[in-house]
Amino acid sequence: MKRVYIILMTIAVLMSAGLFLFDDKKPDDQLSPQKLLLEINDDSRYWSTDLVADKIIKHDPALLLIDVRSNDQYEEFSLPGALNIPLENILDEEWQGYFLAEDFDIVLFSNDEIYAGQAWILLRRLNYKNLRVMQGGLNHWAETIMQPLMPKQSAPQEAFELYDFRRAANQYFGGGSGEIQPVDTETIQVTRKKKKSAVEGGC
Amino acid sequence: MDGKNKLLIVVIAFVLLIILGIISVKKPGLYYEMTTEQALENALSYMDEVFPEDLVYIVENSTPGYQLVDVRTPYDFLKGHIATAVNIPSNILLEEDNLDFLRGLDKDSVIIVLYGNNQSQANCPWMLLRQLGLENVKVLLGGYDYFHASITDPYGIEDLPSYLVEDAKYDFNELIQSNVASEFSPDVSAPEVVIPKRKTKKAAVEGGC
Repeated sequence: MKRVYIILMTIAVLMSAGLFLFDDKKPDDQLSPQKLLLEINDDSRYWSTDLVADKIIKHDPALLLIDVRSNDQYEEFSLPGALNIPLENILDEEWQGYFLAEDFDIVLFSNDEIYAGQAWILLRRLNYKNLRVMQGGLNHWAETIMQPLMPKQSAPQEAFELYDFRRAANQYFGGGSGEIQPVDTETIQVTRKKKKSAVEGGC
Repeated sequence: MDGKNKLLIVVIAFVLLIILGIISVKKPGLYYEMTTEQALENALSYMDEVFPEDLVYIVENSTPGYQLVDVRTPYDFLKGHIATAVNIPSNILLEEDNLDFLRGLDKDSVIIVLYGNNQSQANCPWMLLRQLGLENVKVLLGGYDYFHASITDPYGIEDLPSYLVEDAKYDFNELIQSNVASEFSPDVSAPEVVIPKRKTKKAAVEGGC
């Protein structure tokens, strides 16, 4: 009996060791091409500009916007709260932690959806979850949120509701600049000059 | 003896299970032949982008060595497509027949040009095929919409939007500024109301003298 046990144990250990070796050869935590194609053809990987605007306005804590354009373009203009990871650095080690955060809805965007789409397919192949692409990118953002078009009179009710939302969102994103201050300082200087003239009048 | 027999059965079952596991792991038939880093480098090199002007020339002169592949739906394809294109909708791109067809062309170093309605529609299928090791797959800038428009309007009477869609179409900051000027004008004028009040106070002092 004891011999049998020893033989069995060695077989079991050898087989499990073999399994480990086998695993090492195929690091297959990547998404298979077939599954990736399924997701490519699934439109739910896109988020509309309206949905993104709504989430920004509501300060959705689970929203993570990632601008994949160059650093220059990012510094000139980007969406509020967006993080800049240029496309060429998207696979760099230092950024991978952001994509691992599975509680976040990660929205990739560029000027159109080409670069964002390329970042999406590479990251999705590496099996990061909850990745989206902003549909139409910033150019479409400018057309829908920044310059909403009034729907035709014959348009359905939803079109008008969407238009109202976009106009409200437009005010939200456009109203942040404080240009009033320089006007105030000028007026103060003017009044001081007049004080002196008042004293002169007394003499 | 009974105990030994039971043990043997257990061992055989164990071994069979492991063998089954190994066989089932081996199944996926498609492999990426490019790492993600290589794929990114390739995308950033812009080597696989076909300009619509070049394609017009290729189609009109039926230059050999090119195969156009329409990745749109069969319905869109029937409504209109670029001459000599074949239709492989993107959802059945990896079916065996289609992939064999594309692999065959690729081996004969035929240049495969993918197009959708716009560049974005063919973008991901192109990235995927490249990563599966097809080296001669390219993507049409502007897609069918731009190509069709430029063919039907060869003299550029109507202004076509650029097919370089990743360029910023607008000056975003200027758009915000114009929004502030037009929609927030009452807010901007509000501090101006304060100014005349201060002026009148000082005038009153002058009068006292």
